[in-house]
Amino acid sequence: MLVRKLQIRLPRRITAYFLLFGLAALVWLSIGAVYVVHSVSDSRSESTALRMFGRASDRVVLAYLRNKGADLQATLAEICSQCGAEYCAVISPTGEYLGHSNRSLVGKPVSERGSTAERWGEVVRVEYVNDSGLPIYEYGSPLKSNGKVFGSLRLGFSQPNVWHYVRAGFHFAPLAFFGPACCMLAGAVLLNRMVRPVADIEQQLFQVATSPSLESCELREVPNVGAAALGWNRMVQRRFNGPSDTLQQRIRQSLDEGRHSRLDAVLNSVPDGVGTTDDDGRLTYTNRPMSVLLALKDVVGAGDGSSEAPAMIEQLVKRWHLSESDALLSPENRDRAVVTELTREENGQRRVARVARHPICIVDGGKHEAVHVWTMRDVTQQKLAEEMRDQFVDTATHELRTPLANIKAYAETLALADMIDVEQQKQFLNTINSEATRLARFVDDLLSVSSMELGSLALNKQVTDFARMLNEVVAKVRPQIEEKQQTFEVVFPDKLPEPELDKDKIAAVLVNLLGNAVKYTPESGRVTFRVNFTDQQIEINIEDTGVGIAEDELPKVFDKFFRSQDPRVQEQTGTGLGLALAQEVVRLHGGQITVESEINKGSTFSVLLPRG
Amino acid sequence: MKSEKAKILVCEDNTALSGVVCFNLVRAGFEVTSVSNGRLALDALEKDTFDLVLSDQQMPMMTGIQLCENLRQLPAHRRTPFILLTAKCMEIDFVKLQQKLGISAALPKPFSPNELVNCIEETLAAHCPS
Repeated sequence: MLVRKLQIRLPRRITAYFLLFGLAALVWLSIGAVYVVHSVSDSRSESTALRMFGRASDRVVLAYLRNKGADLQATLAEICSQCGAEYCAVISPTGEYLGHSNRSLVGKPVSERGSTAERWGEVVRVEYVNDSGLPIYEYGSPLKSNGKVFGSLRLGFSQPNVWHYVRAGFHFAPLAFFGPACCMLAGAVLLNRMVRPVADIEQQLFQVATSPSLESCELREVPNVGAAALGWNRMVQRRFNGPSDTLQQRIRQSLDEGRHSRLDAVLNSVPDGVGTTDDDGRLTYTNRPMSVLLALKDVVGAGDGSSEAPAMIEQLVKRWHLSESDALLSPENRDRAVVTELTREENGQRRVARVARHPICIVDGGKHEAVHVWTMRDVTQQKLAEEMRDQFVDTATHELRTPLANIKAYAETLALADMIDVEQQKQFLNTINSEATRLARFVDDLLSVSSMELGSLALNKQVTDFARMLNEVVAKVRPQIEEKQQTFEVVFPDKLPEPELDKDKIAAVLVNLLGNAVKYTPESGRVTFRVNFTDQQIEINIEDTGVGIAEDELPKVFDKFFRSQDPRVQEQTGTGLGLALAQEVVRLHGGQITVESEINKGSTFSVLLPRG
Repeated sequence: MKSEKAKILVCEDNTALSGVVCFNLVRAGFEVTSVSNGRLALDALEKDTFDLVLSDQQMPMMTGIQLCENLRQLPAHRRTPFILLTAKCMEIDFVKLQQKLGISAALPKPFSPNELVNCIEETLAAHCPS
């Protein structure tokens, strides 16, 4: 169907050419025909000829009368040219030319030719064929002056037939040929300009229709003539300049975009930093956490691996303490997965990041590209937790093994050695007992912390004689204070309420706080134990003149397993559990525990408990 | 019994443990001096000579290993046998310590007093074959 339609493309053009030519020729012929018909009809008009003859006759008579035929010759010539006659002559009665438009015939005898064809009064028309073969109509009438005939006027009109005119028109033959030819040429050029773009479009559309895929077609622009060409060109331009060339590509692109944006959203919601670098180590992509870890102004988008993109290693060196001997920098590790930990100081705190680099190979449009995928995680908290755990394990080992070692040593000594006096045996057994108690207490603490973690630390609340409880607490810590020769100031009001609380746990908290005060206060220092109460609450202050707590460690003192880095604290044994447990117990009572401290000056721990 | 009593310096911050250690060592026939921290131990070592130093690892102010390092600075005690008592045997690279500081033995806590006495006697015998 399409093929058949296409086949008429050429004839149509030719038809158009011929139509144009035919039109031009027709116009030309029409002009010629009009000219001929006009000429014939004009020459054949008898009345015109007679009118002219009459006028000529009058003029000749006038001229004859006025000048006795002096300027007859000139008049005749003038009349001849004015009337378009072949000739004009005046013949004397004696039969010779008195005057003639052809001067050479003046005075010559007249040879009468032809026969009379028509007669209107005195006017006679004679028809004959002259020497050159033209049919001539000769009008003649006598010329009178004062009623006396002095000659006769003869006016000859050539009377050519159609063929004569046609023959005469042959002069114009070249013009008649070249005119239409020029017309046709111009028309062809014009037509070509108009038809060619359309033909071009048709041809390309045929290609589109017959080729298997749209992509393999080579569409091109056509000369900008006519609405069709204009539209076609715009379409082709859009196809090449537009964001996507073909429907298939556009679908692929939109799918890709969808996938990208989804991937982007996924990667940005990952808490770890994720990034990629190209072969030169320049960043080609970072998600948001990565740009934060590297302190970049903005994320690096996928694909815009311009030379302005920062190099990963440079960024790590700048932002993190990347040592020169780091595994990331060694060339033989380029094709291996590398995991390393980097640190940096931020506001006086050490931050740790775990950086991993994996080499991967990406096939992009048949091109193999070696790139690296980076992941980066801030493991500061994890590191701190690990350090704290290590410290706890360290402490716990010590706290468990020391009493155990003592118990074992004493027990074996008692068992194996003989000849030990009874006093000494008793002393040994007491030591074993106290070491076992210490061990039991530590295990209790551990269990409390464990229930605290589970949220199952239970209180056994009962109405408590607060004054009595405080006295028991004081009695417990007094020996330690006396040992260190510290001043112990106890300030209690005369009357104390009897609140409902877990007596053992609160007492343990106070013993712990006072124990700490004694432990971290040098000899001859001062420990103050002050209790006050209002309608709503009981306030307990434990103040010491000890080593104090550094400002940066102050927020952490209630964290479990936390122990100060201060060597004066480190040299004392401790589990790092006491304050954590104290805070939990007080919290469970609906109270709160706070601390104020200045390094080297001392600390004040305040416990607020509700009275209810 | 021994013709001459070997002099031993015990450095241990835990009084209960140092008590039982001293008791056993005295009973085994050694002359024992007991101190509670590294500083005091170094003071004692500068004043006197000892045939063997027994020290706890985890102590305030100075660890047992630090004490040993300081001890080796003293000309009189470059080769004095040194036994370390430690609760954390696993964390200590004993072979390295032996090479670097000449630590004779590391005894893990808890230990039995007999073990300790045997260890000291073996160390002393190895040091002075006479």
